[in-house]
Amino acid sequence: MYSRPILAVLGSVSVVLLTSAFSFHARTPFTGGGEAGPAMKVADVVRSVDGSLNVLNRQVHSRMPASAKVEILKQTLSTIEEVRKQNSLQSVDKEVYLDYSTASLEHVATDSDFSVAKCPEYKARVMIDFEPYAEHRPTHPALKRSYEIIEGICS
Amino acid sequence: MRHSSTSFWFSTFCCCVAFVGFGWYQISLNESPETAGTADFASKGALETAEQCGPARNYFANDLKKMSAVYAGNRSRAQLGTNNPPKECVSFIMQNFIPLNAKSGAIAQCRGAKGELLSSPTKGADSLGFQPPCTTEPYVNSVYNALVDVGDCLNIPVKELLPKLYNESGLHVNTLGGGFDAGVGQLTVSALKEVFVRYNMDVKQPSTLDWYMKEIAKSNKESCKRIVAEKSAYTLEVPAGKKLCLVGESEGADCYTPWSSSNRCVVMTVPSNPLRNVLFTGIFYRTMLKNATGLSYGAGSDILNGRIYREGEDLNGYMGKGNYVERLRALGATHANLNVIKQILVSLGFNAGIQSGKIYLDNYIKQREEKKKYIKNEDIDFQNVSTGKWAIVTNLPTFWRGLGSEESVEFDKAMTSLEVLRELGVDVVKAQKMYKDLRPHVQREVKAINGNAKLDEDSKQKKINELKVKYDKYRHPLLSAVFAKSDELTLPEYMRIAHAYAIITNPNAGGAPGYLSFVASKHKQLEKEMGVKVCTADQYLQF
Repeated sequence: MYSRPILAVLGSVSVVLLTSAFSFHARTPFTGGGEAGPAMKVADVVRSVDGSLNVLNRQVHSRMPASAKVEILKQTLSTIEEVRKQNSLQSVDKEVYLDYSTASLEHVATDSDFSVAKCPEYKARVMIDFEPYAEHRPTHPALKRSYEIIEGICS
Repeated sequence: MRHSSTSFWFSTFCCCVAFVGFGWYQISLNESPETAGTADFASKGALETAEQCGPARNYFANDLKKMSAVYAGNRSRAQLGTNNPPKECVSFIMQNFIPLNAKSGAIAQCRGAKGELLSSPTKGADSLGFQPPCTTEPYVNSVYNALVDVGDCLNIPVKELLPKLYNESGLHVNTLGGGFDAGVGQLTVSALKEVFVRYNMDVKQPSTLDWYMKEIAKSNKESCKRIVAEKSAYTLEVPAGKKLCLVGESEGADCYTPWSSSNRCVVMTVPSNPLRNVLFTGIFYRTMLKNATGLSYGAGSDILNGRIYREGEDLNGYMGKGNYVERLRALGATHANLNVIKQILVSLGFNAGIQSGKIYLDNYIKQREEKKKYIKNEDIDFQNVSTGKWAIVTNLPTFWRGLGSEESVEFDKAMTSLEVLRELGVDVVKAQKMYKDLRPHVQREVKAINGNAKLDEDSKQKKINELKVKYDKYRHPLLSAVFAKSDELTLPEYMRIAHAYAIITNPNAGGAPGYLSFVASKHKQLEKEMGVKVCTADQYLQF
């Protein structure tokens, strides 16, 4: 009578065990805040960049003029660029992730005529240029965060 | 004597020259790429008649009658440019995209059972789709004339577009992809948003569509004039009580948003399409071209830095900043050239987003530079490098087949396929053990679903699909491990893996890993079936 549920539980447990045992190349998820300060050598470039952008994401959701938020965005991107320059080139998967993280914000940072009125277009660009099939919001982790940052700047 | 000796040698020389010349002429006649295959291409793209197709395939007949003769009729030689492909290329592609005599889920319609116009396409009451349209003369003309006019007016090489459109839509007006990509150009929501966003994201500018139409109207080209005359191609019918909104400008209930999937018939309904769809595809192409090269459009011409661009001049955009040709040449790919780089960026842009393509290419070169690993011309050859061996990690259906199928031969095939990991030093034994250990779990779950009498066939398929997604997570670490080292492979293999990785981290990324290789194989097929350079460009996705 209980054989089916027991089998199901055992099955699930073994699947979980298999997952945990089988990890070839897993990027450690970001767990803490990184330095957004001066450029420097860092132990983990991805972690450092994730940290800077996560801090930025929090900052742009606080109350301040949009122009000030864009300035913080520019500073953050400039710091990230410096960190990447001063540290060795990462493997190709990490470099692609880092490029996704920053390139998806560049169109806001480099717009000399930044205007909150253009926010819908800024948001649309993230999807048009990176996720042609996304209908409402991006879902790639790096793009999702960029989208949230743009929303924060525009709020 | 001396004189006659000179004459003898002179005559012999002349004979040799004449003989060699004649022989060379004969050889060129036999081998000329221009003539190869042309003898039978017309028969391969022969038009169909309404009688041959029957009503199940001739469903556009009435709508095509409403189309202007300029687009549904035949064009004279004078109306066609010099480098346009023959019309048979279009009919051949249409007839070879999918089988003609069976319903296909890739074919939808924008008229309901009673002939009423729909805003969202239907796949019929049985959801099995429809048979492809009958390739009658007006139908083929409507697509062909739209392609050659938009190509000529917007300076887009039609022969470069054909393999891509063959791969995506088979040039049919009513092809509907899985991501609701619609019509001849398989326009996605992003492509349509690009057309209905303000030009250059400038609040003072009109929509990109209106901006282009203004520039098209300034051109003296006959093709541009013909497009301007077809108002229905660029003027949308907005439902009563609604107003046309641009991207992001309003989301109110009174907003009509042509890019929404519920309005996809905007780019499928005949007779405003196929011209409208091809025009939007052209505008989307130009937008990506602008990103890739810096070339903008003005009154029928390519503009760079405020001047008409001349072939061979330096470019701006990603290609200018990335300096790809020089970097690739420095790495050993001596045949690297701007045109092929442009094809790679713009073609992939349609499927993966223009920035994704640029980031993939840029990082491939960057890694090779860092590791001082040379690139051969053959490493950039999308026509001849096979990428299929990576399908076990890049494509869920391939990964699933060996797990879900009862056939042990499928499992054995998958186990053998995993050997490919060895090329990048990934632990094959560990991967095969994982795969082997997973199979009994998957088999048990599949059996339980198939044996459940309470589930109908649709529900069973839905459950199986959920199962595929559940077990797909075991593919991800393999793909991740491969991606981390994929710059050691050829560019086509790397691109396939990078694109696949973007899709697993983002279910909405869509697109097809290996897209450029698929498009390149269509180019090869067209060359084989229709002749070299008949339907295809001189150089395509290979140096």
